[in-house]
Amino acid sequence: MSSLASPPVAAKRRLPAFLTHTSVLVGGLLILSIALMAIAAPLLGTVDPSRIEPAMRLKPPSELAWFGTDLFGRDVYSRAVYGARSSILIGLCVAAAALTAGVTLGLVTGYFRWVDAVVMRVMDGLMAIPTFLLAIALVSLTRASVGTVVVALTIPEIPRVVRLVRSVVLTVREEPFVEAAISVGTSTPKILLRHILPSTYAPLMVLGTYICASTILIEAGLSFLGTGLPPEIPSWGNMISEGRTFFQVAPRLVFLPSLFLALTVLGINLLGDGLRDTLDPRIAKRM
Amino acid sequence: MLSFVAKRLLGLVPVILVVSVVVFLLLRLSPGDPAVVIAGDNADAATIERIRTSLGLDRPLITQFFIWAGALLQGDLGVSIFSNIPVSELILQRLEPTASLALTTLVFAIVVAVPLGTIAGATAGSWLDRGLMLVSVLGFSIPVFVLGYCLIYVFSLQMRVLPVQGFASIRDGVGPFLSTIALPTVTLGLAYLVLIARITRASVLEMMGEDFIRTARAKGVKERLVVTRHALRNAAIPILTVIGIGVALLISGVVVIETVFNIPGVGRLVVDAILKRDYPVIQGVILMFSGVYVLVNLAIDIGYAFLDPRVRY
Repeated sequence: MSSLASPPVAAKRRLPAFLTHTSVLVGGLLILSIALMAIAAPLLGTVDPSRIEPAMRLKPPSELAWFGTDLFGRDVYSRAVYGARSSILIGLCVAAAALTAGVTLGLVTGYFRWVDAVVMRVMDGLMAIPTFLLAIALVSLTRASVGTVVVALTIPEIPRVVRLVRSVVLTVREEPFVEAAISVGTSTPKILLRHILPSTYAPLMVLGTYICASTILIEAGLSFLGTGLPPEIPSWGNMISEGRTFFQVAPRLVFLPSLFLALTVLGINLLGDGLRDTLDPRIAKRM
Repeated sequence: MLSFVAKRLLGLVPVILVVSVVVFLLLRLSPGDPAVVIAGDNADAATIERIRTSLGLDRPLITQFFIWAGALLQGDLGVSIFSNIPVSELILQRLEPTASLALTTLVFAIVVAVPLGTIAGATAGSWLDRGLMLVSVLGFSIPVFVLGYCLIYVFSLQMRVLPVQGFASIRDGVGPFLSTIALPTVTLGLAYLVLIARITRASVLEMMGEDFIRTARAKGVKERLVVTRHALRNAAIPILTVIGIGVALLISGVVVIETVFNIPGVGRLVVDAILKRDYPVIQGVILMFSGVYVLVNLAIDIGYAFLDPRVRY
């Protein structure tokens, strides 16, 4: 077993191992097909997901509308296919933003002891507020838009990243190669970026997938409660939220977006679990 | 022991301080003038001015914080903008359904997860173990409201054995209470259950490889006792930890589940407050939930010291 601090060369040699892992394969394929569906949405027999046709309200499935229409006569199938776009986009944006902010803070707090005490207390405090509540409270501050939802979902995720990066930095900075770099006069930013940062890649990749999955779930939850994305945007959370009023007469309005949502999150989780198992078994303990 | 408890309590001070600053800033950071937001769209200048003075919004931010925090220390969470009822009273009115649901979920999840995780850990690689791992990935992937609607569809709409929505207090009888709380409990409990079961499995599995397990087997202890007395008992600490961490999951879930099942609890209160931008109520509920979360985890931390004499800081 190679250590976390091993140079990137070793990671390259391990590549085949995680590409043959069953859950990486299944999860990866699932995500790939949903991502392709999101990109190719206009080619998949869809119509404009926002087109309102009052004459077609709440119609059952037919050749025209494969999964029927919703309260406003919009095509349920098209909305669900286009919904993949907003979920995946928000998941990726939040994961990227949380990782960037968390890595910066984590590197600094792990390396400079005097910053550590202050930042970690703030992170402890943020972690004491349940993620979902903090996110809805933040969204409630401003009018709902894609931008505010991304910011509101990013902030609660940052402490997890900071903790993980900090724990890696604390171990790695005691390694002989860091000591060697210091002794030959390497500048501090260079030590952080060139010598310490690469050790965080493997655990961050795993954490990134989990953040992506949890973000998609939380975003759907926010939209479900009516505090997420603006209702005109076709998103799975919005569809479930609108459909729940008619759940007893037309459960398909809730079930189709739910199925897509669950499959997406399942795919990401499988991918994350597989990466965790193959990249470094000890990562699980850090989380 | 006493000094250990005191140290843990002192460690809470910065956490509580940060939480209260964040919650305080929530309202102050909102774009625009909070007095205008509170007064609503049709308020005239005089009303806005009155609200500003009465809430102390014309004072410096730091003074505002101390006034707010001072009131908080006396248990004053402020007054709802819409109903003019004190926030603490609103929370108390709604506490029973939420507390009932949280307790039934906690009991359900632990009672199912610990034995399941233990058996899976002791028989790693068996069909039960594989099945549990599969269910656990599914459990983490299905949004709590989706699961809620699936269960309503099967048990309430198709089989018609349980009511679709609502809540009956235990004072109205055990029958109605259980029939209304069964679906929300299972829905809310699934993610929590798989989380606990996974950790139980992992830590029991880790213990099964320890020397003392071999010793116990060598001296002829029955396998069932090896697992329960020796492996599970030593695996207790990570299990307790995850039960504490999982309370956050429970809190997030309650907020959504109360909407799905139309339960008039604290979760529903905060969702309504968010839709109406009733900031004092939002602040009060977040403080309450964070307080519960911090206290549960403090209790668990202290619990370690009782359970395991080796834990001393």
